[in-house]
Amino acid sequence: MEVVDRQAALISNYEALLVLREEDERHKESRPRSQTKYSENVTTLMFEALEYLNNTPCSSQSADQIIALKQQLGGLDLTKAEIMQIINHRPKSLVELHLIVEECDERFSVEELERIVETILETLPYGEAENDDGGDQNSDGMVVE
Amino acid sequence: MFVLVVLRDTLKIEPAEFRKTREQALKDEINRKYSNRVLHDIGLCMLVHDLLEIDEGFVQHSEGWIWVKVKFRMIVFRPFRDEVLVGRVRSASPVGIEVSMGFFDDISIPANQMPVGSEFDGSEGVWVWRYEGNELFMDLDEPIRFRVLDTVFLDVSPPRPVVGDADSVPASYPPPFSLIGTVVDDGLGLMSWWE
Repeated sequence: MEVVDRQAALISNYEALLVLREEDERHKESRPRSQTKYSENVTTLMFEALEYLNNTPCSSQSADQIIALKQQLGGLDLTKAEIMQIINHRPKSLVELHLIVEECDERFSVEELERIVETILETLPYGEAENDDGGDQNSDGMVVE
Repeated sequence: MFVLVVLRDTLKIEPAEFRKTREQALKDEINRKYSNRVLHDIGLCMLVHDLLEIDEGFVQHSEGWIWVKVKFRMIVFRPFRDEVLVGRVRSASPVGIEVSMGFFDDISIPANQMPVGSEFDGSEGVWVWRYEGNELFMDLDEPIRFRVLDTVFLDVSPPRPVVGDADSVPASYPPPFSLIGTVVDDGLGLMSWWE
């Protein structure tokens, strides 16, 4: 084995998920009586990686959404790695965005950051988070009626 | 989190695989050989992404299979330094916590990378962060967000010869690839703290 390029590209979780799903479909289609046997390392990895990725925002993304988001954020001075992480994590608050974007406060104004979060939420809709209207929660995490 | 790595290898296609298309047989063989394995300084191999070049196959004297030289792109799990990732708390001890991402388990967050004001609660067996009068517990199996401080590769090959009887084989070897993380920053730690 020879390593030709240690890092040809960064790829998003969504792109990795597509390959995993495609392979998973192929495994399911192969008839149980056929001689095709998939080795355990492949099936284990696929099961665990699918379970992980299916519970992250990339599970509901599409190529169109990602292209649209990249276009909308393209004008801003964000690095490739930052955009990649925005796509993978889909930050839904300023706190989360701060984690991903380095020296956030020096590079962007609060208004700009708020607009970025807004753009993310609009362009990459993702279930559950939407109906959370920040209602009162006490420290036990129980919702106060 | 994932990168594409270009590799070149000479792979064997057994006669039983001849009924598949050449490409499919090669992809299956690549996955069989690489999937869920760690390559030193490269990372954890997931699945083959695509094939770039396939050379003509050749059959060697006295063998019944084909050897094919192929150049391909592999999806590899190798987070970069400072990348933010999400996992689940797997175990806790006074030296820190272990985090799992399901397909990758070797992530540790040492005690000195816990939020200021945290300590290990021996009776509960979990870490607790005392923040402004609140006690925030890092319960096991809870989703946790952390930042990668370092990726550590350990050259574990060639395998050490086993001396003595089989019982003396250590139960676990140090992992060939592990991540060191931190939860010292706003937004890091259990996901539920920041929602």
